[in-house]
Amino acid sequence: MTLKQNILESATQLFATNGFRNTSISAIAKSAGAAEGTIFHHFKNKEDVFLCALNRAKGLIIDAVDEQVNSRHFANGLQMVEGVINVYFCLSEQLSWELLLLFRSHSYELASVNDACRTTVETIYNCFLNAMSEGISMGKEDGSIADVSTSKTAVIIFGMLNGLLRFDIDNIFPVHTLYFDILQSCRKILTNGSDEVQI
Amino acid sequence: MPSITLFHGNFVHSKDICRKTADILGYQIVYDADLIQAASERFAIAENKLSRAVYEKPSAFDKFTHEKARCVAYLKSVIASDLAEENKIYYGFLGLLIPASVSHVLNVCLVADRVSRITVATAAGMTEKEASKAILKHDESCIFWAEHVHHKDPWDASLYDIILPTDKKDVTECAEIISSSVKNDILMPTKKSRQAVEDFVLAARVELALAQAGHGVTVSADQGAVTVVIEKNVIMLARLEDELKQIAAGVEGVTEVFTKVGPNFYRNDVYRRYDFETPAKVLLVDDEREFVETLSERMLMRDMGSHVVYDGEQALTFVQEEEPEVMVLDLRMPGVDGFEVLRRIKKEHSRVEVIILTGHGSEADRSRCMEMGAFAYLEKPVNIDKLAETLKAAKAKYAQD
Repeated sequence: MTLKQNILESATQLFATNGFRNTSISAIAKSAGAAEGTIFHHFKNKEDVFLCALNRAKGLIIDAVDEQVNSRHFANGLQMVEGVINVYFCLSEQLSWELLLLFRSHSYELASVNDACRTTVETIYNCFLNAMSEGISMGKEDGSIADVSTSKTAVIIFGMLNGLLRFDIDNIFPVHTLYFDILQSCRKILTNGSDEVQI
Repeated sequence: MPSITLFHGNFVHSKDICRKTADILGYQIVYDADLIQAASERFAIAENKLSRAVYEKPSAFDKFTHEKARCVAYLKSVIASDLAEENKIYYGFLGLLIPASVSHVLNVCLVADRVSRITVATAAGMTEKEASKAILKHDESCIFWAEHVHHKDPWDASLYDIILPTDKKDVTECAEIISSSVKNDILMPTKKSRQAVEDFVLAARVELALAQAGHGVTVSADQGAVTVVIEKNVIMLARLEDELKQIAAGVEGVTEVFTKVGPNFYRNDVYRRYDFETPAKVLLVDDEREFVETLSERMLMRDMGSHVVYDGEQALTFVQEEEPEVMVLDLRMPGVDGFEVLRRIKKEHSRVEVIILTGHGSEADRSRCMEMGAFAYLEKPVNIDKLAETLKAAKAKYAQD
């Protein structure tokens, strides 16, 4: 691993644990075993380190989704959606630091003022949502999923997963015990979508 | 002939002025209530829902039901198609919905100061208290409405062609000014301004379609090509743009759809923006406990957190351990005084910016401190805005170094 990658990995863990404000460049340097000067050689400032760490997380997450969803064959659309749900839960273990970094409020504060950050966060969420949407349209064609709105349902299901995962991360409730119930609930949403809500 | 919009405060003789102007010009008056009734009939929606959308603050649940956005879109559709007729006076709030591109409309605002409005109200039989309340309520409605439609103050000069002070001119004078102004060449309908009315009709139709799908966005049109402006920051921008384009493209008369990000997109949240600029780590050093604690509280109200110590010794220890970004320092303190603290800080922690805030300063002290490397020299009592500004500048310098 290059020194730069090493710095980013340390930074990911520190930002994820302590947040942006409470992580100093010197703490990152110490944890990566690098001199402070080296960090400024590779990055403009602390914000740049944060952005690069987020970008690294993006790469890892996209690769994982590609490998575990996009390059796999699913018997039907419903199974593909379940594949995405499965990956999201697996990643919360495999890439826990990276997801934690993504969930940090600083990612969104920065995204509301900085286009590069917004695009990075958007790409991460899109990689899950696009895979989910693809599964739903596939399922609508092969009959495994009812006639629901593809993009809206993808957002609703993903929002639910995302909320549950944050429940787990913040120790609100151990959602991993709910894995099969979640799959069942999603199946209900996807196969039984005919009743319209009136406003 | 050009149409007129008449926006007004209450108790400013607005009705008399409106009638008189209509008499002089032979114009038809269109009240908000007429447009509300028309919208209610055309879109089968209760009139009270429409008036609530115009005159009242949106309910907390509006974010989910989008009722206000839908109602405003209905009203825009109605006023847009009505505009084609010309020779009308739009009296009330709804004239503000007409875009500036429709240049054959004279926009008038009637104002008066509070005292004269109360005089008018009491002359009509109200008590002073009732009048005050009514004025407050009306002004509040004006503010909500102008904020919703233009993100501006209702009395912002940029919204009108003429602002008439009715406490300084009588009804006849005002009506004469309006009716002679309307004859100005610049207001005459042109091919372009009549096209703008058609564009407004199309934009209103698209806004309505988007509002019905839950999107409160502003739309402009240019002969079939519509532009949807996204004002609120959203992370998944591409997805939202796709959705908006899909809905807008389905509206009759739309040939092309563009989306763009509005000026507020990257700084939607004022508080958050403030948070970015204000120093995160401020140390206040002063032996007058009451003063420094009050200062710290007042700064907290402005989202500036600060740590407080009461003498020079404590200040130096704190800086060793916690390196603050900016320090606000009193000069006269028992033990290690401000001059000594400043000297040591600039020697050992030169990045920390020091703002001197002292009660018994002199010109000599000022130049001595500035020479020693202080960022600024302020005297008590200090205006909190001035201090906040200085802190921000100090923080900017700290970030630069």
